[in-house]
Amino acid sequence: MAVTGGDQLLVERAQKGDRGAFDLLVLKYQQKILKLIMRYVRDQTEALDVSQEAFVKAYRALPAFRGESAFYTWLYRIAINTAKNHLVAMQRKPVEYELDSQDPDSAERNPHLREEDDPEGLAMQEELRQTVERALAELPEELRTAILLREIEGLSYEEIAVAMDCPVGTVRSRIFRARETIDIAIRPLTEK
Amino acid sequence: MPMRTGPEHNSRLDEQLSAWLDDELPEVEQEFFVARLVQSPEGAARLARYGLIGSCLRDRTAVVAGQISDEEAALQLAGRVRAAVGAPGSATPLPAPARKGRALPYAMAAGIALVAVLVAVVQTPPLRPGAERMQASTQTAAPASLQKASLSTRRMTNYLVHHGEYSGLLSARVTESHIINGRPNFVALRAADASPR
Repeated sequence: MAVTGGDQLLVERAQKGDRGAFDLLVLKYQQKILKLIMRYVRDQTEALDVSQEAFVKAYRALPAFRGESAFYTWLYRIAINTAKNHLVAMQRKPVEYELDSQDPDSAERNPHLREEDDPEGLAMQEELRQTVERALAELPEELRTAILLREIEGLSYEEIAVAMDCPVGTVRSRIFRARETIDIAIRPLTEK
Repeated sequence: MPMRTGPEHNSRLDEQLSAWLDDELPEVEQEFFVARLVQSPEGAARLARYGLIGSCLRDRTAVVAGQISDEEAALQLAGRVRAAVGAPGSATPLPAPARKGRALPYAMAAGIALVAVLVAVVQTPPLRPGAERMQASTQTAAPASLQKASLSTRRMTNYLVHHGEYSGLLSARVTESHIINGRPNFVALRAADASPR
């Protein structure tokens, strides 16, 4: 079965003015975009502003998006340009390294180490991190392997299927069950 | 055991959501999936949590503390963008891209829209000096489907607020955002400015 860039249908809906469709694209990519921008703008508060601006720019530019690249690649370029423009506007020099504006993966390969994190905020986040860790540790081996191969190693379902010697459909199911189990564990933290 | 919060949501959609998040949803399933997802506030909330889980898992190898807080911070983004561009459930055609020789009518439309925005703009202080104001021009009641999604988002926000004593930065951001009152703002988009810089 063919798998294409899974964003196309939502993009088409968003281009027709369906804001719910665009909202789903934001939900899908918000983590990536914020982390990307934090490679340029170190302050988290500022990075949130710039990330918001990038998404709004993308929304406004949607009519011009022709699908010649993947949606995320296009969004990635907007985010980088927005971050650079922000630095220029703030009369601040860019950070000491440069990401490839054409290659979304370059951000993943170039982890930016920050030193000025709020230590108090870490306590709050630690609860979430530990909950995820505990849920992960309690997963059956095949579920844990599947989701780690996907999330950490970045393997495709097909590659995971080869690695785990099982059908692609099984990989899909295992990854979903792993997410679902972890989701149930973190849900109380998010629904208090 | 998938959590069901309404008849519109089921575990098949959850599994498709998981595959879609990984860009692994077969083309043949996409149309039906998207049609259902856009009608499912629970699906949207789940999408945000699945993203959070992935981010936490990837960062378990990070040696620098504090990366996790960025995941939490990112959860605010969707609400902020929602407030800036308008609520899900509303369908307003986006402006067509400007074409050569047609700039004037678009510019006029943009001018009119901009005036409307300026007249109606809510005078809230900018998040920070120099930051572009992208917030609402008018407020309307959110549709039922959005209210449900907002509930989940509010709970997430409440989580952050309840833990505010541990994080002055995050709680301040949440309080500033429009997520907290569950009434997303709407903004009239400028017809111009349709190309990213």
